[in-house]
Amino acid sequence: MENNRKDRKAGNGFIYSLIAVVVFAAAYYVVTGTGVLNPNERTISSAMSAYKLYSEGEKKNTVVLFFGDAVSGGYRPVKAEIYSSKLPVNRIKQTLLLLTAGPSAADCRQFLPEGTALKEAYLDPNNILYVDLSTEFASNCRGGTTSEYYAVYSIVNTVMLNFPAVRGVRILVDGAEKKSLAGHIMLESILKPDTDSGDVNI
Amino acid sequence: MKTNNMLLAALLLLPASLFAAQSTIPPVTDLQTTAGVVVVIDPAHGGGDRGVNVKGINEKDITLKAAKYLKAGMEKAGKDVTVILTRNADTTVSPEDRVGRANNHRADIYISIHCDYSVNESDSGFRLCYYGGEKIFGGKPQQAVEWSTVPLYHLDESVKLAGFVERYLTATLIPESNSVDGGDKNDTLPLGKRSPLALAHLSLAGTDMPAVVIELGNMNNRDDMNYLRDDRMLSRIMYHIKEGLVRYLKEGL
Ligand SMILES: [Zn+2]
Repeated sequence: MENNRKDRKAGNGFIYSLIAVVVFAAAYYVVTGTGVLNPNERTISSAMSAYKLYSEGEKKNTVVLFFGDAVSGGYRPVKAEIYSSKLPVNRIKQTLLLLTAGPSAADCRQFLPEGTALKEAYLDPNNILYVDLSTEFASNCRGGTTSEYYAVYSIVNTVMLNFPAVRGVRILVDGAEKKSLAGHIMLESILKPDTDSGDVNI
Repeated sequence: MKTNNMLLAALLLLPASLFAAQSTIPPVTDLQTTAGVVVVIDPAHGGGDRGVNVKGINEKDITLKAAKYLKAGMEKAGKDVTVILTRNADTTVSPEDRVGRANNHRADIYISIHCDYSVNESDSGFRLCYYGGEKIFGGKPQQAVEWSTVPLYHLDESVKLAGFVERYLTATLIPESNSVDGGDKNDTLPLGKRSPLALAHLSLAGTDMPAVVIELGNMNNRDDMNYLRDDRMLSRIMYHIKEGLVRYLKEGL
């Protein structure tokens, strides 16, 4: 009896230390930001897996993404690479996924509202590109002419200045047409690139 | 397309060159017309649409206050001046109703007042916008084909109007002799200037007269925000705008 109790006590001690180790490891995992709870990592990894989905082989093409310049407030064209694909729309999807993932340089700004994700993109027979974005594109927009303007035209410029065959862009939010993001820039027509303002040479 | 851009740039610079030799500008007085002038001022947003919100301060409240300052200033500019606000209180009014009202009154100019938001906190200053640019039909055709694009008929005049407002916002103004709160000091605004934008703006869609959006400042910039929430500074800003509008109307009538 005495020995059994001792054995049980020793067994409990082992379980407690095992729980302590597991709890400590889990806490370390979360605190150091290496765990699955890091939201940035989750965004980028999901963007990258989709990015591979639209590619064929390992051959690459260079594209230019229209981010913001933290100093001038205007565009900052940034070079990036996409995988070759026979279908133009797949090259466009890869490019838009890289745009929605955001810039890596500290002096670059993301013009797209936080959480904006590409839901779908398709080309109609007239080569008008329909870009369907997640609800965050509108719901996380802070409003203001300038923020709406650059949010919309960072997309239109990135598509049309890299893919000259595209004749115009229609932006949809969660599959539906929208008048504007928050009362400023009209979204109801076919959009053309913004070549009037600033550094758009690629 | 390039020629078009150059023409727009030249038109925008025209008012600036008219005053280039002057370091200060005297007040514009005696706006007298034979037919009368109708000015429609649009305090953007309102009601359920609060516009930009930064730390509990709403764009819709600043635009209404600014519009009321501008209305009071314009009404003093001449006895033939009629000023209409598209809203007088914190109410929801659609962009179509606002513009429709201006068109029904055959307004001579339409001024939509906004406060901006830029993701860049360092972006500061006012900004003028007018309906146009390469983004609409790739800059062509220049004629209107649907209701929203009617402002293209007035593109040149809208660019000119924007130029006058810009010029007076950046100028040092000599106060009016009977100025109530302007004192006797020349007034230069501490506001920066951001480049104008030609675009398809919902506030301007359908306007059948020279029309501009004036973004008073960037609510994401600390200095601009301090100016916009300071009633005295806001009233000074609107005085500069009023002078620009009156000068434009005097030149054009
Ligand atoms: Zn606004």
